[in-house]
Amino acid sequence: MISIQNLSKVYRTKTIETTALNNINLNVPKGEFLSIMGPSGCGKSTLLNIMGLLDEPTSGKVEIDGQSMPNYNSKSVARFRNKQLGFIFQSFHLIPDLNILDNVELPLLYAKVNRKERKRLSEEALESVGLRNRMQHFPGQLSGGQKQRVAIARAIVGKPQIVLADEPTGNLDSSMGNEVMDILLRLNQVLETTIVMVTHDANMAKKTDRLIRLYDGTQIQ
Amino acid sequence: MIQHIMKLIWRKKGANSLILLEILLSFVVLFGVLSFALYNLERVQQPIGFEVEDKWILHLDRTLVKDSARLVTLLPELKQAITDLPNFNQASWAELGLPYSGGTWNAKESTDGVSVSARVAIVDEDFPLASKLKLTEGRWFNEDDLLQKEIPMVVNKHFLDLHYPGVNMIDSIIEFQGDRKIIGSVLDYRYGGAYEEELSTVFAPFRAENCRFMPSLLIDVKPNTPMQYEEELGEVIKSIAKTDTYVIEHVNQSKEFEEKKTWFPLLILLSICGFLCINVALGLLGVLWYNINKRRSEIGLRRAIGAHTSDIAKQFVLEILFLAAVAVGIGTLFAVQIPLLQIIDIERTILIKSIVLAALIIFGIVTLCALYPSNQAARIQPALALHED
Repeated sequence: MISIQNLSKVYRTKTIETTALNNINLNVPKGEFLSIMGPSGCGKSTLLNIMGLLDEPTSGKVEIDGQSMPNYNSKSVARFRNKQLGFIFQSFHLIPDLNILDNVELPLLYAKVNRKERKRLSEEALESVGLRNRMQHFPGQLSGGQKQRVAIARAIVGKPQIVLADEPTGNLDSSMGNEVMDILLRLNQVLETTIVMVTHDANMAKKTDRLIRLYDGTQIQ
Repeated sequence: MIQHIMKLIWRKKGANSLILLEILLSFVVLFGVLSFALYNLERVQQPIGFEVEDKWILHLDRTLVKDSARLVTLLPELKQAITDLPNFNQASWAELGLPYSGGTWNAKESTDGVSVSARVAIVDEDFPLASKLKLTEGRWFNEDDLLQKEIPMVVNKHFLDLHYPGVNMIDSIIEFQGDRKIIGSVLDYRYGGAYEEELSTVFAPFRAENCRFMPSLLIDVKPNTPMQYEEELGEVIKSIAKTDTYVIEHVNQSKEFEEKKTWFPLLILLSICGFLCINVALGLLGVLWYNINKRRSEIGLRRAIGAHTSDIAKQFVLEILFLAAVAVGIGTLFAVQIPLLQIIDIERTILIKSIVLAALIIFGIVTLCALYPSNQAARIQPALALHED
């Protein structure tokens, strides 16, 4: 599903050169739940961003579903992100001025899905995370766990093949974290969605199919 | 997408109302200034009815009017002597209504159910020749007319349109400061100049024996007559009128002076309006810049879930254009009340043109101000924006 070959990412300024990722090789088969662990600054999020076509590698190749993406700003990449990828972030990134339903509908808006269908799919996604009764609420009225469940609903509303989660339980207490993790596991098992999750929590990582560890931009496990 | 943008705007109505108010006020000011400018522009394109080049006006000592017996012989003698000079063609004595003279005499009378009001120009029989005023109907008065029972008068088209629309009034007798016979009409006569609106005007014959004010002489001068001919004129005045007190006014210079009184304030108003537009533009630029910086994570998220750079730029441009459209809409609602309630007497076409022009300027400014910050927003790297929180 995701194939990464000889991937490196170097950040350069006038005075300093920082290697964020160094020669990473990774294959994530369809339906796998992969977790990535490592200390802060080891390149986990950078790797996830590159997998999510939000950032360009300095060298190496990324293929998703057999396709490599040459131009990260092109319309076709934007469309690919919209159709094939779902994102979950540690800080939720919900738009505070939109209600829960509108937040979940957002990816469908860019997919040019009609209003009626958008509403139906969003309600369905909110139902699957147990928040259908909160559709008209605003993000400010929800707890951290509920916000993350809304973010999951938003990530899956377009039925993507891959969900990329960047520390989805990082801002939650253990009970809420477990709730969110259960939803992700169910998503992986029932819908066979490929999930790549960056986490600091070894207990959460243990629940996934496979764990890789990064250290100073290099894959050590 | 439009509905989505409307929702975002509505949820930020507090902050957006200030931007809306700023755009609305700018629209109202622009509309006002443009109406005034277009009103004057329209006026200035209309004919004034007389020529201004190579026209001099001789103003004599005002005390001469006290001796009316002398005036009866002095005025024809002086006019004859002046027109006999090689560089002077025609001349006309006038008590009121000379080009750019400023003095007006308005008369109003109600007869036969028609309330007639007009300003009166008192000029002699040579006035059309001296001023190059063109008759459109009938004829000008002559010396024989002065012997008739009814006093002859020539009127302008506005007089006829205002009081007797669609009626042929030539050779009709009306009561207006006594029995008067309309013997001719002219198209325009705006003696206040190009910025003056066309007013109902009548030309009444000048009689030296009836003078209440000291008359002035409009002289048609041959083209390219040098200034030293003023001295020649002065010698004639001295020899005939026995006075050194006189003023020679050049009509083209008076025109410049009078018109400056309108276009100079207009220029100041337009400059103030220009500064206002620049201030509004800078204000909008600042607000948009601030908003975009505040919404970096939202921009990152939108890119992550499938928005292309052009979608991001389009969203910010549409947001501000929508606000501008609401402000212009409210402003237009106020503006259309002016002709509906007849608040000021100004043509509808000018008001419509002003509304359209003001709206175009507002949309132009708003679009220009939105383009740069919106393009900057589109260039925000999603990977960076999503990790700034």
